Amino acid sequence: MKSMLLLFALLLSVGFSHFSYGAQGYQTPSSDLAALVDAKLAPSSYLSADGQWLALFERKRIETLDDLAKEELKLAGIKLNPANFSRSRPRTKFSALQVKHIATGAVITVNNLPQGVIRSPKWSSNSEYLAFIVEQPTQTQLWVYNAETKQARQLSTLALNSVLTATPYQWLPDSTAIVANQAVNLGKPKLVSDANSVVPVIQQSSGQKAPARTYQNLLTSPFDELQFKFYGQGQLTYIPLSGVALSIGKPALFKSFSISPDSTNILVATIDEPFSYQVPYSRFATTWQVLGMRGYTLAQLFKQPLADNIPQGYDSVRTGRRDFQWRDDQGAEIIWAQAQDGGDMKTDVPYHDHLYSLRSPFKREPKLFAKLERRFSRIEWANENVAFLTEWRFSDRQLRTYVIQPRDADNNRVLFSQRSYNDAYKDPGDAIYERNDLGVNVIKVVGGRYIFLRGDGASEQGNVPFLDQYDIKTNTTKRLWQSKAPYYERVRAMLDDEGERLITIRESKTEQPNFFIRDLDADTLTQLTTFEHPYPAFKGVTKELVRYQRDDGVELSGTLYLPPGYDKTQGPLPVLMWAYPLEYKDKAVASQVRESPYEFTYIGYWGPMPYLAKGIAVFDDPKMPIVGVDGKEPNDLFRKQLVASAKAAVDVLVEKGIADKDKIAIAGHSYGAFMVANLLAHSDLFKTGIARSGAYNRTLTPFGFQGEERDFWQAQDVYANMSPFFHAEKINEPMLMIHGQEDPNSGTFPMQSERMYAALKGLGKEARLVMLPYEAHGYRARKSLLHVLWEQEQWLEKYLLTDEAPVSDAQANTEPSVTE
Amino acid sequence: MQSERMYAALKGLGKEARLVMLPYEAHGYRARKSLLHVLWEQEQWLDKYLLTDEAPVSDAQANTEPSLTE
Repeated sequence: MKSMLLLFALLLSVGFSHFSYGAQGYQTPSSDLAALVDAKLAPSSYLSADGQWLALFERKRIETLDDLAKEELKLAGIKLNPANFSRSRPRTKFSALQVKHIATGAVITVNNLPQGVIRSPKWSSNSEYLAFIVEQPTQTQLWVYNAETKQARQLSTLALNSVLTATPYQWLPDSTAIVANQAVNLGKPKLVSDANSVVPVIQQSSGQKAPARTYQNLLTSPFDELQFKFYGQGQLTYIPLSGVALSIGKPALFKSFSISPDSTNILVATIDEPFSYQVPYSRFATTWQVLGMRGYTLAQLFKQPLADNIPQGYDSVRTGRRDFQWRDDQGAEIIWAQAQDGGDMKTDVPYHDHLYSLRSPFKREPKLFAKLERRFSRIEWANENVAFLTEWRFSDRQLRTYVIQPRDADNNRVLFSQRSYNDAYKDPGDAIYERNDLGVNVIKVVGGRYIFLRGDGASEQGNVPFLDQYDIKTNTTKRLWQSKAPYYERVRAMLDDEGERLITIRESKTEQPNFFIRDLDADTLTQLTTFEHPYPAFKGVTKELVRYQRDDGVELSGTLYLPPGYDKTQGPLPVLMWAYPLEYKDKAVASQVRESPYEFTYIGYWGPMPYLAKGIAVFDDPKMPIVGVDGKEPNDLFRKQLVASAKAAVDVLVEKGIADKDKIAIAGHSYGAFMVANLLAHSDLFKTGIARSGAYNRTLTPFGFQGEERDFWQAQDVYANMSPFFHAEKINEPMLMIHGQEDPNSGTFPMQSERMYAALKGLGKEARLVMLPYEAHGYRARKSLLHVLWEQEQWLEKYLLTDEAPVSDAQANTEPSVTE
Repeated sequence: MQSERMYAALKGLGKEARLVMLPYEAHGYRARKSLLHVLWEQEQWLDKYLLTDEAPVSDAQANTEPSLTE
């Protein structure tokens, strides 16, 4: 990694022309604020199949600067860490493990794990073992926790490869062994590019408009190809819980592998050359076959060619056999889909997909399993009499699920659910699963007819989670249980066959989430966990949805948070508003409610909430709709509508006696930062502003931005009017700007903030620019997050909470260079 | 950045253009390899667009598009 000295030099290298806080390097905010960065959220839970053990993994939300500074390779659409053969930015990461015994409440803390990132936990089907991987600086290890001995141990010294196979291991359904993808090239000398690989970077445009779909981080050179092969190559290995590990076949670029329900075969996909520089690895040529546990090939299923000409459209697919998977209700039977429309949903055909099946020993001709009128989405298996088959299409966002009989899938289908996937109010919920006799997760069916569904229960009243019992025979649904105010409680698992004993997670506005056992028959509720309040300094914060109107009649709303202990007799407060403007084509568009009014109030470090601890009221997400009316495009009246929205927000808070109208700050991230600069330029509603990771000059995004579809050459006036860079001379309130130095978002390159700052400085305005080393569009390192909180805290103290007008103590000291 | 943004604009508008970025070079090009390459680029370009009579044939496609969300 690069020198820390360099790093400190980079931070704040600009920004001191007008004043300085007198501190250099990374700073830490006051303790109540800093505690938010380290606050522990409710852990992620993994329940064993027998319902006896609840594994609780502490979530790792933030990184270290060293993590961000690690070398990262970008190959064929994957960002990877070459030091340990893993993906560099996994979505879910854990840092610690506890296991709770449901019956007794006993807690086992697993404390012999090495330093590293814990990922991909999976219980064995017999509930005796919990496997997971631990990513360490130079390798990824496979660990197994034993529920009986209450000990965790490294199962194998082999290093795993999660570059292509993001989850690099699978349990055998019979719980006797694990198959893992080993990083065979780990430890070998790194590939080195020689001087000849330095070449001019050439792009050429031939006079055709660019195609719509593009990909990032593709292969670009022969050296990239070598690297992709080097880091992608793995060796499947059979690792028994006791005994010697055995290699399965030869090393290859394994894209996926999955073990048959009867634990005898492996469905394997391997990537073939030649690679493409136009599409990511998921579209490379891929060979699908079935291997035996020793690696001999039992069946060649298909060689998928390179898919670089899939028709446009999200529901377009490659032609030929695709979506190979095991039938979960059978010992060893493969199912796959095959497009009947050339891969293009726009083609008018009665059936867009066929599903085929092929059973072990894979010698016969494949059988037609089902015909689908729309694109195949997925099958959830229960048994040979019941499965859920889902198809979809993008044009009207329709999702359609049938209950089918797998033994005769085209006949006697029952339509279970049909809705737009954007329509949360009609979501029937997700089926409860269980392990079948083979050890595979399948839909739980009781008495041959009852299926249990747990859902969020989205409605106009917010989310009211439920548990339903669906009767296949009568195609009817009965509600067994629903969350009751003032709690927000959802079903995590079902412990019996009747839907009467449930594990739930329950919270309220003031009570942090915890696990409970709810017994519907005995009507009892037993608390299972006692997680602490994650941010005790914010106990007593109140939350209120405020509705108000803009001067043109548009309905607006925002969420008002008041500091702990505040009541109106204390008089009006300084206010911090945090917003993000959105465009609408018409006034009537209202989005569905997708949260519960009884959720525990989340106090994040990201937005405005930390400053409640400073006695500042927070108005979060006051709507700033930009509406296109009378045939005009929304942005034709962007500034007018933006200022009117902000004025309505200010007015309602002043009217309510909450806001001191001379002490209101506006803040936002990304397009919200763009909004901040505009509001400071075109209104005097705010005393100061904080603008993070924004874009201020729309000529640098000349092909549109957000919902704007006109390009710069079609709407030069709109671009100029909306760009605060063009109006920097009117910004007459102090503005704090923060930006990640490695922001890869082409709309918000770091240069946007640098140029805006240079403009403000040259014009003699009060501004401060903080560039964060190694950070991208969202800030992730602990030090960066603490420093951002400190910057914002200092800024608000100086410019929002202080009564005197700030004095400029320095003058602009640079001049743009004009010669070329 | 000026050249990159101008090229992106021309490409997005469907114009004929070619952009060559020279590694390690500053405002005046100095390395032997760079100078030879610049001469070659210019020679090819003039051969194709100045000295050839027919309309040029498109031989490559644009392969990137600006990302629109922030």
